[in-house]
Amino acid sequence: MRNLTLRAQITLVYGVALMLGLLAFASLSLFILDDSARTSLDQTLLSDTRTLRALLEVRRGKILFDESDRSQFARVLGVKLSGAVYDARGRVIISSTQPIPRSVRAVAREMRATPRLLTVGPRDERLRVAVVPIKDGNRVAGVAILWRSIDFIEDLDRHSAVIFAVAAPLIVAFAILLGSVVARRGLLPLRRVAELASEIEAHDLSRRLRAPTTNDELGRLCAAFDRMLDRLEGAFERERRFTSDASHELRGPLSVMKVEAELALRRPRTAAEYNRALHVISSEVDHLVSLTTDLLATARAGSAETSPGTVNLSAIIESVTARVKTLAENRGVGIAVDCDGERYVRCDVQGTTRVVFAVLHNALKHSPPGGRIDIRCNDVEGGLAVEIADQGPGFSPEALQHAFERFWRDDDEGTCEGTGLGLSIAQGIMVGNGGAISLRNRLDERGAVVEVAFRRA
Amino acid sequence: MKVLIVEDNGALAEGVRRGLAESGHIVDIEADGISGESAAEAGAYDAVILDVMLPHRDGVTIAKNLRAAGVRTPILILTARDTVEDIVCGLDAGADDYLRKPFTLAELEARLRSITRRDPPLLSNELRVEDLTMDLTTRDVRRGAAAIHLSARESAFLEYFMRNAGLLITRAMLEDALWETTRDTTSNVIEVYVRRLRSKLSPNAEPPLITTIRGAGYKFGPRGGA
Repeated sequence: MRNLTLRAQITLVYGVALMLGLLAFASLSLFILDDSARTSLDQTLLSDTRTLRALLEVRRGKILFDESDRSQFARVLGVKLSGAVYDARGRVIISSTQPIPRSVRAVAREMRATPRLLTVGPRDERLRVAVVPIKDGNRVAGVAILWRSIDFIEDLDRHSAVIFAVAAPLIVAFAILLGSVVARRGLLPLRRVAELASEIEAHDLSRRLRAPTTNDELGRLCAAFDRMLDRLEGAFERERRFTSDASHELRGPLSVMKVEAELALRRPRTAAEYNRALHVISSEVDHLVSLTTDLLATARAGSAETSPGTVNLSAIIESVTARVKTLAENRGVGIAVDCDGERYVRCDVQGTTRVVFAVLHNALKHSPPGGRIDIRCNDVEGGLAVEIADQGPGFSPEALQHAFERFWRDDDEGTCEGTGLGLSIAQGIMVGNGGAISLRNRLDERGAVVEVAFRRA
Repeated sequence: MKVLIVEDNGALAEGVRRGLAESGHIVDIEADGISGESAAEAGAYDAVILDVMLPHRDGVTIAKNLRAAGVRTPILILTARDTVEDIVCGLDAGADDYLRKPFTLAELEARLRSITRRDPPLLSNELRVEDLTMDLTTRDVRRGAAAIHLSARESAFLEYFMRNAGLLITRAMLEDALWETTRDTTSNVIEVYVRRLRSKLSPNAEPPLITTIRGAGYKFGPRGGA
């Protein structure tokens, strides 16, 4: 069974079920047919025998029978039945056939006082017999007996069985043929799914089944398959873009190192020239290191291996502010925190601390000397948000639009520092924690606002 | 030759500039797409090195715009991506060659020689005028059998003369082709170089190759020749 195609399995099961069904139906039909034929014969025999009995007049234990009764007798019997009347001594008063079969005679001569129905006779000549006593008071004056050969019922049974035996295989064969065709047509989309799936490779996910939109199971399967390919293609495309971007970012510093080293090695140089080359290379290595760290963080944020717990947001802000205290003092930037009391949110501490630190650090970098950074906790729908606002130049329109894209850097900032991954990582962490991060500019004065939203615990 | 580098990675651009300058090339640097494109369109460059990913305008677009504006300067595209699309796009946009980062200076210079050989087509990396030869790979210069040693800028001077042998070369052309656009050439620096070249090119009193055409400029080649 395992080795058969689905189509063959369906057809086979269907054929066997049909065959069994037909068999059961035919047996039942035959039984009912046989039974009703016998019942109807019995009723006819019994009622006709009683009619016959009613024709006869009994006087002082003697059955009176005249010629007018003889024609009545023939009418009652008709052509199919045979009959006879016996007197108490077992003599035949009248009979429709000669000779009367022996088995019938034997039944008649028993002279029972009750009406009876029974089957008698040798195997090849079974007879159904109805016997009704002809009584005069309590004395049995004789019997009226009618019989018919039951061959006709056996013939009926045999004919039905033959018809079934011939018809059933034909019906089953036809049904299997038809079923097979329907199954083949119905399963065609499955074959196409299998073909397509084996043709598709990772570098070409653009193919689709595009099955006609039917609402049956296979139509839905094809649609689901196509949607899965859409998602896969999207994921592969993002993956490819990320790899390509990452390779671009890594090759930049490598090119500088390569050129510097090659230049230094080209001919003997002065100590100052070697010094310079090594400085350039060293700073490019620093850049590569931070790039690698950020790329790893990106990969981790993408895999969403976070374990959210219940965290006091005020405590996180306090610890992060403490970490940047020295830097803020050196730059003459004040930090005002408006986030008292215990505010519990649901997030992973490490990731969240990293995000808040990165945002605060960034705000510090862009703050003018003597500026102020405001940190405020707000209740927002479904959670809590930390707002970090600086008095720096604010975000450019391009930054507001693209800042969360990987490797995006603001060209107008004029600095090549940073990997362009910070905000993208922060977003990955916050989304992984069921929160969000958003950027805007201050409306009342110069400055950027970063809002980090958390899920309430 | 004079090369424009359009590259936003300052450290890389500076490294390449020093490398090319040591080989006797004159290098200008632009750090963003828009100023890079206008510099390439306006300046007299023998080749343009274009990074693909640039602020404001990408290298492929610049190449396309330059070709649309009729600029025929050979273009070398630098790409940091692995994908073939960048390279195909760049070449289709009109670039003459591409180089994948990280690259070696030696290969960059070889490719520059290759794309500048194409117009007018040179069959080898050797320039020859009469018995004077210049090997563009090694920068070796010989007059007959005698080797001539030149400084980087003198050799750039000579290369320009030899590439334009037989044609009138004006002072303005020399200034455009042999000095960084940002640097002002003082009035007599060209004469100084021409004088030095003249004496170096005739180590054994061979006939002079540089002729002064009064009021116009110079001509390179045998006197009275084409």
